[in-house]
Parts: sequence; structure tokens; C-alpha cells
Amino acid sequence: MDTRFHRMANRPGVQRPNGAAQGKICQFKLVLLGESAVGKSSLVLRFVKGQFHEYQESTIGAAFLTQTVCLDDTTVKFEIWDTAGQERYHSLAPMYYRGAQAAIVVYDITNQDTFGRAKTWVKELQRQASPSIVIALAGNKADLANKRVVEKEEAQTYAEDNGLLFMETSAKTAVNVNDIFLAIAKKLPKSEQATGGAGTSGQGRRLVESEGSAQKGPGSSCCK
Amino acid sequence: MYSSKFPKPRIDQSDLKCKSGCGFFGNPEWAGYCSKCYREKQQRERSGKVGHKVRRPQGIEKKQVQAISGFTRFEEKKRSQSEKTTKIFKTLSFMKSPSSKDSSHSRSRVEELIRGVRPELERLRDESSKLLVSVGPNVEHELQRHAARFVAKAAQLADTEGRPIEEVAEEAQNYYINEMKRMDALSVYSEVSPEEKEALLDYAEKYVMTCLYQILFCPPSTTDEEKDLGLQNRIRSLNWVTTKHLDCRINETQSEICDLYTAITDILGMDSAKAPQDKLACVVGCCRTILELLARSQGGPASADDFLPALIFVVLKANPPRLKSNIHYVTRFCNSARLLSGEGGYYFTNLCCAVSFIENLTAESLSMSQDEFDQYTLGEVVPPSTWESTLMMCEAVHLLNEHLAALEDLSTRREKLDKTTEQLKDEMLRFGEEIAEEVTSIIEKTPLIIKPSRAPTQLDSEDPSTDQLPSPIVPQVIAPPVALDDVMQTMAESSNPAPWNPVSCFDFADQEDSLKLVNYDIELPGDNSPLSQCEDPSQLNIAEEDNPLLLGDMTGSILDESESPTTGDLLPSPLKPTAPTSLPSTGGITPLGWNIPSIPCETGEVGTCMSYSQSSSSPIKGPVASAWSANSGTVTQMPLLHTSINIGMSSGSAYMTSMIHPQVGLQSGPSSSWSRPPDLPLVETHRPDIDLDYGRRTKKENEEGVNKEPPDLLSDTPPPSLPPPATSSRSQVEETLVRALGGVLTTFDSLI
Repeated sequence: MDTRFHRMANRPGVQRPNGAAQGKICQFKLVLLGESAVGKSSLVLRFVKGQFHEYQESTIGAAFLTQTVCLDDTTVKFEIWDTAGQERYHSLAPMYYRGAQAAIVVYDITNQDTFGRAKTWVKELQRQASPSIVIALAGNKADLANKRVVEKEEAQTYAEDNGLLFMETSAKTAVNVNDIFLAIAKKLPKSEQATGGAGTSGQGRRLVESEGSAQKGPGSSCCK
Repeated sequence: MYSSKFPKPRIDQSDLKCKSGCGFFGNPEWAGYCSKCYREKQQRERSGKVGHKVRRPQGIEKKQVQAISGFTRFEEKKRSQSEKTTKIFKTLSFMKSPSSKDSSHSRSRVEELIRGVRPELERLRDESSKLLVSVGPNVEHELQRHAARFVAKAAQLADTEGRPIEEVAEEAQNYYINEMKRMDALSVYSEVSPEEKEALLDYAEKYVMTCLYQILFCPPSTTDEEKDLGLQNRIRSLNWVTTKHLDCRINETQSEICDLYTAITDILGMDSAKAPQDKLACVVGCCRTILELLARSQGGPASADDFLPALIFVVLKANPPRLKSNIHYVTRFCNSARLLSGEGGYYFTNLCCAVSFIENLTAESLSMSQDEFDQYTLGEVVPPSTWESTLMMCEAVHLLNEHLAALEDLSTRREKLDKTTEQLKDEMLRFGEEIAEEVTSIIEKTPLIIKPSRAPTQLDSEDPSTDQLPSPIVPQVIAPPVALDDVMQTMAESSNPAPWNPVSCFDFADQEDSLKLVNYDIELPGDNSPLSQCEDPSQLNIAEEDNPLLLGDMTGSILDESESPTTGDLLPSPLKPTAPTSLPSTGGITPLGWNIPSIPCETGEVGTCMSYSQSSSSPIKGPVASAWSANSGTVTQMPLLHTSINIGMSSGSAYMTSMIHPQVGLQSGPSSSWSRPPDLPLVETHRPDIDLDYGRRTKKENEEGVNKEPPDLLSDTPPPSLPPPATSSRSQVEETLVRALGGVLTTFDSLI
């Protein structure tokens, strides 16, 4: 937390008044974390293809997608970065969530292991990601309630303890899919929305720096 | 060394902190310091050892250099040499141009840099020419000026010994931000739209980076080159890795894998691009190809779970040259906004992840035992891989596809040719038909009719249709002059019941007696009058014989059929009325009648002539008709009040012409023909019952006469009595007629 302000103070000229003329358009980077096959991409595809607006980009892949959500007086543009969920690529995750303003950690309610992995992700995010990052926990595949392994109360309690947004979603039936994104949009820092892209850019600038450092020692920044 | 640690994501917070203990996060690249502390340390070192060889940060970097081994010594040597060269060059240049001429030096340096990349800059200018034109020359000049200033500054900074490349990077980022601020602030840019500003920023970035590429890409002050070589070797040693090892769902035996070549080509193209954006574009292109491939083989949008392994696989198979240098260059000098967000940022992050994964690849990350991994890496054992065969297969498939495409092309062309041939055939047929049609239509329009030689119309042939013919046009000017009325009156007063009846007047038949009865005949045989001379039958006969056509016609058509026994001797003379010398004085004859042109029979065309022979058996009934066509004489009544009466006289001894309708042109002759305009309807001319008005009246009178004396008409018997030519009016008429006849004969004579 201090790091950010310190670094920003170091570079007074880095704030880019991005899109200042366009008023309240906030762009947020949202990263999807979770074990593979918990339905991360299904969730985001449902959100992007769903009831909100038309496609922003051609959907050749669910790895990178954008979707715009309209709040009361603000247009929130989500830039959704999917991550590879396999264990072997776990160590690369910091490169993705670096600079993200929001994250959705997804687990499968029919698989206890995925919930365990989700807890790991949350811990990692809280420690390494931007302190102001909005983290949401999504128990996906809610339509398979009869195969439920992870109790909702358990997850709810965990989310409350860690200050996370929590919803049980179903990409298949679209239950809570839009809601969880909307909840995130609402919880995103007001100051950033108020200042338009400037705040975001300020953060972004900082991120470039850390990203640059990550390139020089790939993978080691988080593992050293 | 890291590899064993790497998969463990959970590390102590203290490991990440800055070595100096300032509380901020450190970075291995900066020797475990945070950026601020690292720079301070650098500055301290620099101020302490000016002029010395740049001190590379100790610690992690050194370790890396050791890890690479093999090439290290060579690289070290090379780098120190290059540094030495730079130093010498700088020293020299500083000697040449003292600090006071710094600006001129930097200017020449910029010029030198620009000269080196002139083709690229020109291409860039061409690409953005539209934008530059739209913003105007002022903006372009301003942009160019500022860009040149930055290039000079950056070049100087980069050339300055001991300055880490990060400072230049920082400078570049500041330049981008300042440029944007300037665009918002300066009045020059006031009319430039935000989109154009973005485009201008891009242009400026490309411009300066293309200029500076030479000195900023893989600078000797960094270990980029060593890392490049290290990574290249690493990838080479991992060439046995298959998609299965990476948990990648690409099936190596699928034909779609050919698309991987496209992706590989894209990623290889990254090294040849100069501007950071262009390099980024290569990455984006490569990633999109992979995503498309995945989407095709999986039947849906691919997620990152599939994408990242595929990208790693592509990087492993492509082994792009100077990959680390390229990544560093983009990271340092690409506008940070671009790397932070957007598709480009995401894919670039993925590429960094892929490189990071490859660098830190362990047996564990490939889900195999360490022994197996080592064996594979050292090349002692070759794992079952389909890649080589896939390569060959891909080549074959590629060829096959090319051939298929060629075949398809050929078949399309053949089809096209067939179609064209068909079209041509159709066209030719159509053309032939059209021509035939045209010819037919032209023939129809202008038919070639070989007309048969004209045969004379046989007037005396029987034509029953004439009965049904409509009545001829009634002449308008009819009212007989008062003189005529007088005549009629006189005639009515006479003892003759029908003094005007032509039957009685003209129907002399062939009886010589009848001639005697005519008391008002004009010429008499033996008479010495010129008229009689002219009418000399022998003369006329000769005249007729001179005209064989006429004669023949006559003999063929009229004379032969004529039942009259005197036909053979009939020598009619065409009498033409001559214009009266004293028309007004000619009592009952209207000038109109005289004005009607009469055509002499000789001139009449046989074909169009209407020869009309009235025989006793003629279907034309009515007293007038029979009367007017007395004997074999022919009456041709023309609708234009143009009537000629040819009277053939029997025995050729005497001619009798008398009491002709005043409006009728008189013509007598053996031809019995009347030449008439061909367009005049002949049929009408034969309707005696609708003759001239006057004729009709006479007809009425005649009818009475007919009723009284029907045998007269039919038996050709002479009228019982002829009206005596006693009245003065009659004598007047006679006089006129004589005069007319004289004229006609004169004409006739002259014609002969």
C-alpha cells in the first residue's frame, strides 16, 4: 500500500489523464483465478455474451474479453484477463494479477479441492496484489446443487472473514453471473471512478514499473 | 536453483522486501533493492568510480551469468570489447567537441541515427501520411521538433557511460506522458481530435523508437544478449517437450497444427520489427492465430487454460531469436499504457509468462520424474514425439492443400471456360437467328416481286362483284346550268318520251338505219368536213394498227367478246374534247367538265386501263349503263366527273356523237379504254347508277323510258324515234360538241 504511494510520488509525471474528455468512463482490469475446469471462461463468456451489451470484441477466445457495465452515472469497462488454472502455471499468476483492480476467484461447489485452491489464491492476492484489489469469491456450477460438496455457509463464512464478495453462480443458468460483476463494479474504489482514468492510469504506471522489473527476473519476483 | 523453489508460490514477505530495509518491495533485477534504493546505490557507485567500467549489479545477475556458463566468457569478452569501443568513441568525440559543443554533437548524433533508419522512417511517414495531412503541417512540425529533441536527449543518455538503460526507459515513458500533456495544453493541437492525438502519439512513439532502436535495443550495458543466448539454449534443450507434457490440448497429429506455423512465423517476425508497437503487434497476431486454432479444434472459444500451454509450445518450437531482448525492449520503451491494458497487454503478459515458464521449467512442472527430465534434457533419451513426423506430415498436408487449391482453381477456370463457351455458342446461335429474322423482316418490308407482265384488264369480263360495289362518289358540282334545264325542257316538250335518254340517243346499234335517224349527227360519211376526214375509218384503222398493243388488246379483250357483229369493223376514233374557245357561251356545259384532263387512249397503260365492254349480257343493268355503253362502246366513268364516252360506230361508216353530258369529257375510240390513275378505284367507276347527279336524273327519266320500252335496251334496237334537234339549245350543244370533237381530232391527228 505504501509502496504505491511512494512510487507514485517518485514519478509526479506519470499520471496520464486518460480519457478525461469522455467523463466518467472507468476501465478496470479484472483477473480470473481458479483451478482449471471450474468454469472460469464459461462464467466470463456468459457475462460477456449475456444480457448486458453487445460484444466488444470478436470472441475468438475467452482468454481476454471486455465488457461494459453501466452503473448509475458511471460506465465501467471490465477488461477480463483469464489465467491458466493448471497447477504448473500457478507461479505465473502474479504476472496476470499485477495491476488488476479486481479479481474473481472461482471454485467448483462440487469439488472440495478447487475450494482449497481458491483459498490459496485469495491468500496470495491479499498478500501480493494491489491492496485495494476487490476480490470476489464465486462458487460456480450452482446448478449442480445435488452434487454439492462445498457448503454455501462454509464459503460464506470464509468470504466474510476475508472481506470478500461472495456469490454462488452458475454459468450454465446465468444465475448471479451479472450480479457478481455488478457487485464488483459497485465496490470498486469511488475515488478512481470520480477521477476518471487518471487514478487508474496512475496505478497503471506503477504497474509498468513492476512489470518491467518482472521481465528482468521472470518468475522470481514472487518466488524469491 | 530457483527452479526447485519456483513452483512454491508461497514465500515469506521478507523475501520480497527491499534489501535496504526501507519497507518497500525489492526486485532481484535490482539486486534485491527497490527501485529507489537501487538508483541511489547506482548513483553512489557512479559518483565513487567515475570513468570506470560500468558496474553491473552484483548478486542475482552474477548468478545468472554463472548459470548460463559456456557462452558466458565469450559474451563477457564481447561485451567488454563493445563497451571499450563505445568508450573510445565517446572519448574521441568528447575530445573533438568540447562540452560547449554538446548540442552540435547531439545534433550530429541524431542525424546519424536518422540516416541509419531513413527507409523505415520514410515508410512510417508514408503509413501515417493521411493522419499527418489531416492534422496540418504545424502540428507535424511541432511533433517532429519535440521528437527530435527527445531523440537527441535519449541518445545522449544512452551513450553516456554507466547510465542504466532503465533511465532511458524512464525518460521515454516521461516523453510519452509529456507529449500527451503538451497535446492537451498547446494551442497547436487545439483542433486535433482525441483519436488523432492518440494516433499522433503512436506516430511519435514509432518515430523516436525507430530512430533509437539501434542504440536502445539490446544495449551493451545490459545482459540482454547473454540472456538471449541462455534462453535460446534452454529452448533448444527442451525441444523434446510435447503438447502432452504441457497439458496442452493441441493434437499434434491434427491437420490444424499447420496453423501453428503461422503463429510461429508471427512470433519470429517480432525480431525484425523496430518500433515497440510493431513488436507488440506481432505478438498479438501470433496469439490470435493460436486462439483461432484452438477455437477451431475445440469448437468454442479457448480459455487461458488452453491458450497458455499452446503459446508455450509455440515459443518452444519457434525458438525466436533475441526473445529476451525483444521482451525487454518492449517492456522498457513501449508506452506503458499499452502494456497495462488491452489485448496487446494481455498477450504480451502471456508471452512473458511463457518465457518465464520455459526458463524455470522443471521436471515437476512437466509432471515427470527428475531423472527422466534430465535424461531428456541431456539428450540421452529421446521421448516419443510426434513433432518430427508432424512436421513432415504438415509439409505433406501443406503441399496437398496447395495442390488442392491449384486443382480447385483449375476446375473453377475450366467451369468458367465451359460457361463462356456455352455463352458464346448461345450468342452465335442467337446472332444467326437475329440475322435471319432481320433478313426476313427486310425481305418482308421490301419484297422482291417479279411482277408478271401486265395483262390488260378485261373490261368486258364479267364481274359479278360489281353489283355489290358501293356507289361512286357523288359529284358536288352538279347543278346543271339553266341552259341544260332548258334543253331538258325542250326535250320533254318534244314528242320523244325520253329525249335525253342516252339509250335513245346513242344506242344506235349497228343498224345503218339508225344513223339516218340521227338528225343531229356531227359527221357523216362522205362529209367533207375536217371532222369526218379525221374520223376516216381507214385512217384510224391504220392508226390503231400502228399500235399493236392496243390493237391486240382490243381484239383480245373487247372485240372478240363483243357480240356485236360490227366489232371487226369498228374503228373508233379517240375523240378528245378540246377546250372550248368560248366556254361561257357554251350554254349548258360547265367549265369544270372541260377542265378535266383527258388522257388519250394511246397513252393509257394497258395494265391499268379499264376496258369495259358492255355487252347485252352484261351484269350491269340499268338503262344508263346500257345506254351509255351502246354497242361495243365502252363507258368509263371516272369519279372526278371525268367520263369519257367512247362510242364505237357500226360499220365504221358513220360516227355519231351527240348529246353528251355537258360535264363529261368525250372520247371516242376503238380502244374503249380510259387511262386513269392507277390508284383510282376502278370498281367505283363502273357504277352507272350512281353516276353524276345529272346522270342520275337522266337515269330516272330513263327508267321511265326503260319501263316504257324495255326491249329497246336489251335488243339494241334503235329508239323508235329520235328527238329532233330543233331547239336552239340543242344546236348550241351540238355546236360545242362539234367544236370539242374538232379539237380532239386535231390532237389526235397531231398524235398520229
